[in-house]
Amino acid sequence: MFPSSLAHCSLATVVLSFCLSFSVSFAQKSKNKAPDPAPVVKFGVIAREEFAKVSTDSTAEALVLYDFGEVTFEENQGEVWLVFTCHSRTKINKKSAYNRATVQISTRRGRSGQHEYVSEFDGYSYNIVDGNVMIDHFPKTAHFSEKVSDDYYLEKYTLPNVREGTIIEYKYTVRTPFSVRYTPRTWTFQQDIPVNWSEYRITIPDYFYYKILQTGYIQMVVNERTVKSVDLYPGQNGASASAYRFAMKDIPAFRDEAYITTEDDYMAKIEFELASYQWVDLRKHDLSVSWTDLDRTLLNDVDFGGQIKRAPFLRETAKTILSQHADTLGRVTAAYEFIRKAIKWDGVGGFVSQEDIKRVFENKKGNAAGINLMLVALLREMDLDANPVILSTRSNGRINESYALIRKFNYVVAQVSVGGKDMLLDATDPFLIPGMLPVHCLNGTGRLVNSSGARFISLMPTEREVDSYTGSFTISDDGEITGTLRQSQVGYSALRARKSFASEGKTKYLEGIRKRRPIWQIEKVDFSGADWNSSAFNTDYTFSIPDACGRAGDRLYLRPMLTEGHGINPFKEPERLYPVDFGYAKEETFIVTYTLPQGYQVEEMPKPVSMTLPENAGRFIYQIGMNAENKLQIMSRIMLRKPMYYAEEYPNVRELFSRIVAKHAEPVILKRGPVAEKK
Amino acid sequence: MKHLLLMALLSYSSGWAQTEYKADAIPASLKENAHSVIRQHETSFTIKAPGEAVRRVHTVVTVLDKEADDDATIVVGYDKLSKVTELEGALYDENGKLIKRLKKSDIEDYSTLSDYNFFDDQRIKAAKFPRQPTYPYTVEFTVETTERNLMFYPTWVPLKKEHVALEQATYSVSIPAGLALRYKEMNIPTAGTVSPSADGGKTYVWKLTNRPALELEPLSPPSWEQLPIVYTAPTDFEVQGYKGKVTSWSDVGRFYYTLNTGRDAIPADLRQRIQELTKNETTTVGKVRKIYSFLQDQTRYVSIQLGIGGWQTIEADKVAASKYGDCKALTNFTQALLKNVGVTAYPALVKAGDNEPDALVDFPSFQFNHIILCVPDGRDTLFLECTSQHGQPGYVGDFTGNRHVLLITPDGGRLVKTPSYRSADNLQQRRISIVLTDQGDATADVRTRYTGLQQDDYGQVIHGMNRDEQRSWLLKRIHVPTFELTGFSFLEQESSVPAVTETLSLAVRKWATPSGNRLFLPLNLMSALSLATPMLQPRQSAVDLGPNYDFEDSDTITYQIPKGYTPEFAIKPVAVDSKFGQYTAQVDVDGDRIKYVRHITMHGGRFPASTYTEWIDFRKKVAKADRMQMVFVKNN
Repeated sequence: MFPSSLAHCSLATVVLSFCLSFSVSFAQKSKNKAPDPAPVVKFGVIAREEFAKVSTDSTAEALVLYDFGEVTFEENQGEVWLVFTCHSRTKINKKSAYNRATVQISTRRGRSGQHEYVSEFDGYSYNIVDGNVMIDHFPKTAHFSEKVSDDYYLEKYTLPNVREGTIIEYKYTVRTPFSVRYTPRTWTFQQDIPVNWSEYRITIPDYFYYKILQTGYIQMVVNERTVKSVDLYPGQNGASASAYRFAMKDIPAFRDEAYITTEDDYMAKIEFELASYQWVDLRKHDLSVSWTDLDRTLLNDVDFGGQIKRAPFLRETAKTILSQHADTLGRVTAAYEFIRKAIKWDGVGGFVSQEDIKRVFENKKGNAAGINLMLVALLREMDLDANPVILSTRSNGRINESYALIRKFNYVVAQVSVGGKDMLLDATDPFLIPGMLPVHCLNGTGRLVNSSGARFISLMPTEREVDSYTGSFTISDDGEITGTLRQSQVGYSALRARKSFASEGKTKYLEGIRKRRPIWQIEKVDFSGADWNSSAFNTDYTFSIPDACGRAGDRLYLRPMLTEGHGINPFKEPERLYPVDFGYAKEETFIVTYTLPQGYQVEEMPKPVSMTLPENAGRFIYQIGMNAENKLQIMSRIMLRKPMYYAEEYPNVRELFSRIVAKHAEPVILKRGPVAEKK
Repeated sequence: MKHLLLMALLSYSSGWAQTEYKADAIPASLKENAHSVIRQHETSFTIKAPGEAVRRVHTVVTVLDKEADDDATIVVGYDKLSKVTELEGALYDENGKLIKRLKKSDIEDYSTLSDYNFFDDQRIKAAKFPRQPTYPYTVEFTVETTERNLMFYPTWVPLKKEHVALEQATYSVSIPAGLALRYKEMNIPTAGTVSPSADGGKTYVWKLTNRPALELEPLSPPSWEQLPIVYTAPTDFEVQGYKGKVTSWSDVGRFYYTLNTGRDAIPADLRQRIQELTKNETTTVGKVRKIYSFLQDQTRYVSIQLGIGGWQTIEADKVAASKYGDCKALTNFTQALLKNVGVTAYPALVKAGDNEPDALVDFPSFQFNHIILCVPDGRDTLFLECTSQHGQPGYVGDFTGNRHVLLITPDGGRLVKTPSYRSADNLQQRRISIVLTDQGDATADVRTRYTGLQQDDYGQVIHGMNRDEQRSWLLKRIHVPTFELTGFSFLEQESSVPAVTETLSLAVRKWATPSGNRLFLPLNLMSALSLATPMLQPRQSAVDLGPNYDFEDSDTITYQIPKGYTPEFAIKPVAVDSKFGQYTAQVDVDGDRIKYVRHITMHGGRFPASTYTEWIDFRKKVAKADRMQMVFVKNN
């Protein structure tokens, strides 16, 4: 059952994620190299100096001094096993880190036969007592095993005598049979506390071909591959293998930030995927190698490719649509509307249908794949060039174009070519405009799956988030304003409003507005454009705000942005490590005309401004002036033209907003009677 | 009873449409404000023996919209002393037609895995139906469990939250001859009935019909005060071979005492160390402080909820060796240490949580979820939270403060009250000095002293966060339009009402707004209060201002304004007085120095529903005064 001789396979390749500036080359070990940067750490032996070690962040609740993981392959009872050995040393600085002295290791249970299990857990707690190092050994009784579910167990080990200043050290081995999992555990260099040294080694016999993926914004200090010989099958001649070694040094704690897709996209880590293996028969078994292979696998899958061939149950519908609409756009829109009205989304994503689309059609409900693959099938019945596009949603992390990994995907939408241009359709949401994707789909690129013209396709949004306010108010001489305001929402803003308007109903929706704007005394509200095919979702208010202006003697002080100015800069952090990812571009406009009270004139008003971010990535325009004898008009417009701003652009975006906040706070001063002429 | 069960089974196994489950049979009055309607809710609790009972719950719920999708889920907890003997479910469409029955494979079984429960035997069986694309739909669940921990009888709460209406519900308890049931009804319109059963025992029945959905108003009393509840409890019971009898608080305490007595031996070297540690202390308070600090330094909290129904502690000598324990073990350990130096202390059972109702003082039973230690010392009585790594001895905050606890003494249990913290204990005293430029930019040195409940968040911030996290926490907390935080520090002060002093340095962009030859200066930099939530319908429930409304805030801000500016007009002092609190703000001008002084004292409590308009008015006046702004004109 095992090979007596093996052909050499190609070596594993390292694929880099979308990091900003990453240059990695495999260093060849040479004799006159600098000394190894790795600290020497011997289990159970500690030097006094270890207690004095600090990181750049002296206030962290704990500090990982050393974190080492190694994976080797072994044969046991006729099966290949992954053997993962971990050795870690952490200094506990604060009481809040005491829970780190309980080590939790999850192990998977096989459906039958072998299970993954932990062996050889051992640990120490070190304390300085009266100037001497006191050592407590881990007692076997402090191990608890807990069945979490039928699929996995949790092993918990609690180290004794932990207090502020304690160094804890432990090591363990996890043995994983190939039948349970053939992917080595993902190694995370970065943690929520600083790490002084993190090293990972893996020796892969050439029978196996793994893809290695790296993510994050931190450079490796060691990145090596050496060729070795291993004895995977005792009694056979040694097989050649690749021994990899990766290490990072002085890694800062991971910090969560607002406007990111998901933590996982930014954390420094390394993960594996088995691409192929070669057995005794010398045949190579491909699991997934190229994008073409992945496309083919999907197209051959009955739950994916099987669903988008012709669909006879939709033939009549296709004919009707074709006869009713002459142009492609009209036909596509009609097909999109037909599917959206016929099938309800069950809230589940997925890129393969859970049942045959004919069943989905009969049941009138389905997952994202059931619905969107049906849309592809219908468009194809109409002889249109339509294809499925698989993608990963924002919370699921980005996909890496340089590596075909099917498990990174979790959603599918439909693509159709209209007038030579790609149009992406998601029929799960009745409020989307044709061609617009829901926010969770706005995540880099997707893969258009097709037997001949497969390709990557941009998921950049076609719509923006647009909010505009236009209104006219009359100011009374006691400082009250009364008038009308139209809030007009387009694109993603309209999508959000239409969805909550539909689910909450008019009464609750209005109640929400009243609660958010307690000083508005609303007399009347009208809503219009609640369907996607209206150009905007409009809310027309008639209201007054008593005391809108401050009063002193002959003067009134008006904040012309009323309640709609930006009061606080949302970007409080002075700097940023990761891009600001909004998902879509934004535009916000406020245009209001005020009729001044009888006998009043403008004494002072803010100066107009116009400012632009580099490369026209964003803009703020503010204008104010009299446009008739007693009419004052103000206009404020904010445009953020990019769905995503890089960390280097962050200071500019932050500065733009601080100027907006300052400008929006500026008052207009109205004075009764004559105003002194400006020089 | 048997008959009832048979009926339930019969209707259950039929495959026909359940006409009574039709959604349109629900009266319109019950749909109002409701996301779901409980059509039937039947709980029966059959006590077989002092240590054995069977609980059966049958529910039928119609889900009206997606907000109530969670109601299509069933979660049943169990442990070594209880067993789930039956768990069935069915899903019906709006016409009452069966869509799906729960299969064995739909039921998941897992441990509770809560963070702080390091090791326990609590497990869960859970199942849910797939999300339905259309509403309404109806789910039916039947759960039967056998219970072998009869320290507790069920608390019957058919309606658990707002936006749920109820058509009919019953609770029946069958108790054999020789055992007696104790119960307490809350918000139950028709009192329960009792009838003799064939075997000589008794059956108690409570019924509820047609309860419209509750919708909580802002600042309303909590839902558990408004919803119907029946508490039941045993008189004689057995758990894991221990027999108990409970008719008074003294009995409850005695049972806990019996379970835990004789577990306080500590090793000789530790005894000696403690003696040494406290040898210079002459007062009880002094000894307690030393020992409490020793405890915080030497041990940590790890939850191990095992032992007799989770109510028996690990021995003190084991804690001395491993240096960790759960609340029972650390309390017992501390009690043992104190005993060693001649200080008597008693464990105190408590229903802990900042949102938990107080124990029902007239219903002696096992109502508690936590234990602390009480050192009686007349007016200097101290309560010690033995699981806290950084708390002050004697400070109980809103986690265990202001409520009844049960002292466990050798003579039985005794109810006492923990300290509560009033307005004068919960201070926020802020002094700011600001230098302003003629562009309106400001540098501000802010020094704030927080005490009592107002400093509660700071313990976690100071001891649990690194400097980066503390910065981010402050950035989120400071509501100033555009600013840089150029420095900060915290200083803790020990006291039975703890205090923290926070120092901040801020650079504020355009705090004042220049406009032509004027400068507009808002006076209140950091403490402005917002408006109250308006009521759109007439107010129904009382206005409930909880303990967080017992506070006193003061701000003294000194502004150094740029040269050459004069106030355009004088600002009159503001005073707002109401039954909820008192507010004052005033400004004094002294050349280029402006001093703004603001003070607010609030009083928590319960106020009649009719006072809500006064509440809105009070908050409106305060919010307006907090936006007070001075206008300066440049001298020519």
